[in-house]
Amino acid sequence: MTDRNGRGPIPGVSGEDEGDLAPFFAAARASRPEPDARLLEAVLADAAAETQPAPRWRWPAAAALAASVAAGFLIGITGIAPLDDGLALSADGTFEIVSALDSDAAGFFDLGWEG
Amino acid sequence: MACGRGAEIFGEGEADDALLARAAAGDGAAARILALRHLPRVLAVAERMLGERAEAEDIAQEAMLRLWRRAEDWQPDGARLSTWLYRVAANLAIDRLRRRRPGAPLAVLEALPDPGPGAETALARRDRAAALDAALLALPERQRLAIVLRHIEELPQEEVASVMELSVEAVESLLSRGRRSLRAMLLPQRAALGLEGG
Repeated sequence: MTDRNGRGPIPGVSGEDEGDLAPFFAAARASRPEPDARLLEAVLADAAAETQPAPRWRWPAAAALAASVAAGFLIGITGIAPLDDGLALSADGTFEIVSALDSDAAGFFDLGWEG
Repeated sequence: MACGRGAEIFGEGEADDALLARAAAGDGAAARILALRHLPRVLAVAERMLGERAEAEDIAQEAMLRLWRRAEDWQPDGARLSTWLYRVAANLAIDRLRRRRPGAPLAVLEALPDPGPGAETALARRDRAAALDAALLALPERQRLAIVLRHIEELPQEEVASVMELSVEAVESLLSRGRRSLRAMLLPQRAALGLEGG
């Protein structure tokens, strides 16, 4: 029996088998069921869902997130939102000139000068 | 609407493993090529094993889904992607067959084509394929799988053995017994199906 690509006889298939069954096998190959477009689209939708690349960590986003967390932490402890070097917005809406060394947070973390 | 047999050669030249690596990185075009290349054969094996289209589609989709889930960590381990897919589809099909086993042989007998006088002029290839499909469904599942993979999908005997996780000798034994049974079922229908020497 010769395969459909002409690669020669298939080992293990006798001449008797070829004469008897070859037309049936050939007919089956010729009538192979084809997937319809609906099935293909479903398979591709699965592929898209399962092979989504993991989100890439971007340094600017990471830095912004870290700064936000740090600011929130400081505001939570002191009730003062630092605006710029030495300038802060207090809870009553007034601007204050502050020093990190004077703040409660500084005390908490023992940031005072020694000696 | 069928996807078309021409789709099989789409993407020809790029190895499956390379395409799968691209698909794992989110390349939809690579996934599409793999699906067009392998889905028809996986579906064909499942349908010939089960004799039922809707279940075969479920299995083909499930086999491809398992491929996508393994894409990122794909380790060929010497097995071709097509071999792995055939193995998954075959195992899923056999699981289904075992769940629905009661009553299946009756359905097979009913599916055999009528070899009556009217069938003498039915020489269409489709009828021969239908006769083979019906006879295949009467075979034990492992003989059926071996015959489908070897004689219809035309896999090398070594690859059939790999798909079925058997020795080549065991596959040859299954093939021999399967062909003998097929001949017993199909020879009486040769004349009715337009084949000489029945």
